[in-house]
Amino acid sequence: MKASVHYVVRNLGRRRTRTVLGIGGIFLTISLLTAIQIGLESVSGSYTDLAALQAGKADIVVTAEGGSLLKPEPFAEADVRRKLEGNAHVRGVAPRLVGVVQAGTSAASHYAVLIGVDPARERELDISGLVPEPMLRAGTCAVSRTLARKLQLRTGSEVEMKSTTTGETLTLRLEAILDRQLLLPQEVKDYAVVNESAARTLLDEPAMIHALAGALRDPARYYDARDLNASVRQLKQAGQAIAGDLGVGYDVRLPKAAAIATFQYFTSPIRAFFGVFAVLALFITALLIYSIVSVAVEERIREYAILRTLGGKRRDIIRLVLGESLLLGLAGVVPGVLAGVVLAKVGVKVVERVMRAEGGVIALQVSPGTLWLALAAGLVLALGSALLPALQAVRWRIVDALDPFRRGQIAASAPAEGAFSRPLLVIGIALSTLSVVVFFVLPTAFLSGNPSLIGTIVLCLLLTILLGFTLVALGALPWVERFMMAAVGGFFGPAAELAARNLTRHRRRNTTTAVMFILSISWVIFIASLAALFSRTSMAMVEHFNGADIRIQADGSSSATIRDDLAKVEGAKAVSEVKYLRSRTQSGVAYDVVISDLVGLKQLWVVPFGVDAALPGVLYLDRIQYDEGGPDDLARLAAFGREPASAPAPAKAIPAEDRSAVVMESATYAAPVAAPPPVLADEIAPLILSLSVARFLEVQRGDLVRLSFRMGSTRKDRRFRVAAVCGAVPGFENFRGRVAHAVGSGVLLSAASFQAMTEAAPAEAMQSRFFLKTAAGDEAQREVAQKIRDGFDIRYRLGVRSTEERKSEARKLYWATQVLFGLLLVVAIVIAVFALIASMATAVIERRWEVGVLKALGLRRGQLFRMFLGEAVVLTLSAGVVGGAIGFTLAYLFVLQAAALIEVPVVFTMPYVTFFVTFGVSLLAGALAAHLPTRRLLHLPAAEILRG
Amino acid sequence: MATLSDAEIAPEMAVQAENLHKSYLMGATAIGALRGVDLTVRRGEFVALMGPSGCGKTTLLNLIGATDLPSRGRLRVDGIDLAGLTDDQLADLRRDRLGIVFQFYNLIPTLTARENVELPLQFKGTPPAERQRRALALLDRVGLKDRAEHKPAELSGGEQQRVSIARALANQPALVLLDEPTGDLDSATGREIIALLRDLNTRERVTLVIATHDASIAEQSSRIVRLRDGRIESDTPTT
Repeated sequence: MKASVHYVVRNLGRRRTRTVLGIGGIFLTISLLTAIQIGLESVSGSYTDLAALQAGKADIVVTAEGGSLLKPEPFAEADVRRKLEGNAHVRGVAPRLVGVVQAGTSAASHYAVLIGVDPARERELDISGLVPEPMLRAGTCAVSRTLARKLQLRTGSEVEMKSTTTGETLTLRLEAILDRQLLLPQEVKDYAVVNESAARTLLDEPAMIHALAGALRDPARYYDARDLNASVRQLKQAGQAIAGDLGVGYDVRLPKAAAIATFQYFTSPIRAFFGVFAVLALFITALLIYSIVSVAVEERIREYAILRTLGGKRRDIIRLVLGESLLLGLAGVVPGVLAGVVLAKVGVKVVERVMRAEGGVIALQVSPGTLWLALAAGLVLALGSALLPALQAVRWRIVDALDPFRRGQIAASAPAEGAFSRPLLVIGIALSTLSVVVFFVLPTAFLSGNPSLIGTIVLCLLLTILLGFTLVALGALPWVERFMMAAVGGFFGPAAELAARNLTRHRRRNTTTAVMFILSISWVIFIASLAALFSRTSMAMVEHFNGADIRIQADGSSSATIRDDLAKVEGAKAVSEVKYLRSRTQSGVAYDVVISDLVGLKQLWVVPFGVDAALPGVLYLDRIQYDEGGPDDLARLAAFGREPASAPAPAKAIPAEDRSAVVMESATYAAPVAAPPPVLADEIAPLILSLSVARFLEVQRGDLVRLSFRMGSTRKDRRFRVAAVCGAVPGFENFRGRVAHAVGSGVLLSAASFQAMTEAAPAEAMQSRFFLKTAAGDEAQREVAQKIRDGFDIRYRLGVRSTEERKSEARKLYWATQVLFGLLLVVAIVIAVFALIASMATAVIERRWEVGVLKALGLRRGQLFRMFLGEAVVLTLSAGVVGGAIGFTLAYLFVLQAAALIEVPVVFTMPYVTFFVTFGVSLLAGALAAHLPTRRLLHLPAAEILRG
Repeated sequence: MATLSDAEIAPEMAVQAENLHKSYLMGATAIGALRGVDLTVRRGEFVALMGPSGCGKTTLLNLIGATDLPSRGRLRVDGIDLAGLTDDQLADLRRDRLGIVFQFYNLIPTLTARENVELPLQFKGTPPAERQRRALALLDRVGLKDRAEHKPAELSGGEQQRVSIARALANQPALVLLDEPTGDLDSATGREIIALLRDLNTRERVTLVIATHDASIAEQSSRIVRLRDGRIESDTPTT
């Protein structure tokens, strides 16, 4: 046994380069996979805290129906407490009041969101999330750091809080400057926190409250880091039970559950992606170990034969080979797992440092299960990949194994009649398994809408395509090699012919190397393409969502002067206002708009937007996806009715087919008393449809449709002409292409048409969205956004989104993704290069005698090197080109599907830089693979080589 | 030609070969390396196989050494019929009853001389201490006790061949087969090796079958079997 161990250890020792390559490959793969797994587990483990960062610490929030963030509906606390008394889920609730006040000093004054809390109760339930935690005794307050900076406040300063409703002023001492709050959305930057009593005074709310924040009894019952889906389900059930007890009139929200669901939505595809990468990385590493052990076996065929002449059985030899691989595996896996833990620790620390600015803490969670899994995976990998070479070690008869010349002359035996073909069997099983998985999971996935399942399906399909393409590539590889040899053969001189012959001769082994290279390169190109796509898409998404340089989502209808005020901001070049309707007013009146074809066969609930003439001047026009029509139609629609005619349109001006264009169909419709609608010209008003609506109604540009605005029993109908059909309009999320998304789709009307159709709507039913075009330059954009935040009513400040600020956030995310992808890619490439070197080493060993003969026949050292170089370079270039083509194709297909699924116009661009870098790496890898195994052999005299 | 019956199996016979044929496929052509060889070797004999290159000496040694199987004919080694033995049984036979010495020594380069000698004992499951004791004794027997911890690369050709002989004797085999054992050695070293073999044969009654071109070695044997074109041309005892 001891001698066996010595034998195995010394075998590893005598081929140090290869051993180091093998150990390095396993080490890299296992350390990276372990680190990612631990990282994901740690993030999942700390997810409740992470979710709280965005959602707040309260498990439940109860509000009265119909309110909004800054205009909450007051309700009686006692009623809710009474109803929740017997509820098994709720541990307790704490009252909250929210409103807007004017905070200031003698020098400056600013609007701020006021939060009134019961500090003792919040602390008791651990739901406040104010950092640092203030005591909020009578006569004190705490303000956000942003507000403190604006008002130049210090702890101990006096702050005047003025009610916006009663005008009453309280002078409070500043107890603490807050770094963080987890009570309101994180967009709220200017806020002040006071105790309940002060809030009641300032918000003129003597008896009622605005919200009740609550904590659940025994949270561990609901939050399970291992199964986020189950957590969301449990929380939803608890929320439903609470809502059931409260009855009608109250809204129950589960902010953390919502955050967890979002968190899972983002992490599920990452996990699925990681799963596929892990499979590929392990597969490539397995090929590497296979290559290395194969080399060792080829080299020692004679030794194994000697052992057999001494009485060693086949199984003894197999054990020796497996033992060697196991040792190789252990040497890579054990430090790999440890390095993985260290890497995860560093990664988590970095993320935590970033998160800490946001108040987040991620605890490193290293479960023994993960470590054992990594160890087991590494060892199984080592044993599994060495099994085939181990069997090959005993495939020769002893006499043949002892004599390399005889081995070379023995032809490979033809498969026996009726014997199965192993490669076909393996490929068939792999393809069938993938297809069956997809077949059974696909309908469930799409019906469930579960992003994790859909992601898995997409990745499974991509793997199937990758497998198929790789097989095709392997079939076509000889032609590609021939082409490459013709292209670069001149560099290798007379050795090129020998190299070409050797490539054909060693097709089987070259195929293994090619598979590794093709998989690695295709994966690199695929990921690089996706990374580039994500970058462009995230930028496109920002522009698509924002619509213009600055987008302001106003809470409530706009004041008459706000548009002009915005236009006066320094740096603002143009302002456009878009009006639309709430689906339900605060007093509970529903407002529905239905679009239909003229005969009413198909009807659909839609969201109309009234756009003003300035819109085409501020919107990112190049982001509009016209299916029919074009920019001129948008310009005409925006300007429609801008200069209304002074008199009603004469009948003769209306074309025959449009005579009933304006129809009043409602008996209950009350004619406007004030603010008469602009009288439109005698042409039918245009509208722009979402592609999904056009598809549903089966209408085209130029067709007439009917819009029906209904509020309660009031109804107003009118015909419109379709001016254009758009699949996407920036700034308007509900312009889509798929019919499935038709309900709730957007419809653009001119401001005049919109006003005419909604004249009976109360002011509270109206909402406004402003788009601003700023002076050129990122800085100008930021400055304008900041000025609006600083100088405008809080209703407009909250919803200010500058494209540049959003892009900057998107870029940060993009770079974080790039680093992760980069690490994965480096590992894939390094392993492939290792494998290539190992494969070339086999070729050199196999042809040792041949090299001796060629040398004896007068081939120079340089020519011999060029022969191996030619083989390696042509092989890597061919596999690189084919792998690149596969990667591009996969990425292109993915982009096509992604564009169809997310309905955002994305354009596939070839990542040329990555491709050429990969090409260069292939060349270098080829040169290295030719140099390392031949560096000693080629310096030996021919006689010595021939002596063996 | 008569076939061997069980009654004819003589316990004193180390090798009984009857009508042995062996052919190889070289490409599409079948080459007959042995074409009906009948040979018996008694225990304690020192038989030299001679003949020109390609006459079938090594093939015959391979067959007797159970490293290759005959295409036709029967072969008994130490009374055991090789036909029908499984791969494992053949391995056991090589381990327990045969010792093989090659022209190029075929030592395992990563193991020391002692560890090389220990290998057959290890395959037999001999305890490590016993293994080491016997390996050192065998190395002492071939005059290499002080070189026991050296690796093959640190030994001369003659020393390597001595280690190879010690390894062949490790499990006290019934028969030792030697394929051109002095072919890669200078004549003085070659003579030393032959003296050692002769000594083993006369003192310890080790049965030796040696394939050689060297007439001076053959003269040291008790019997010379000459082969030509895969057949035994002559079988004569030496004086």
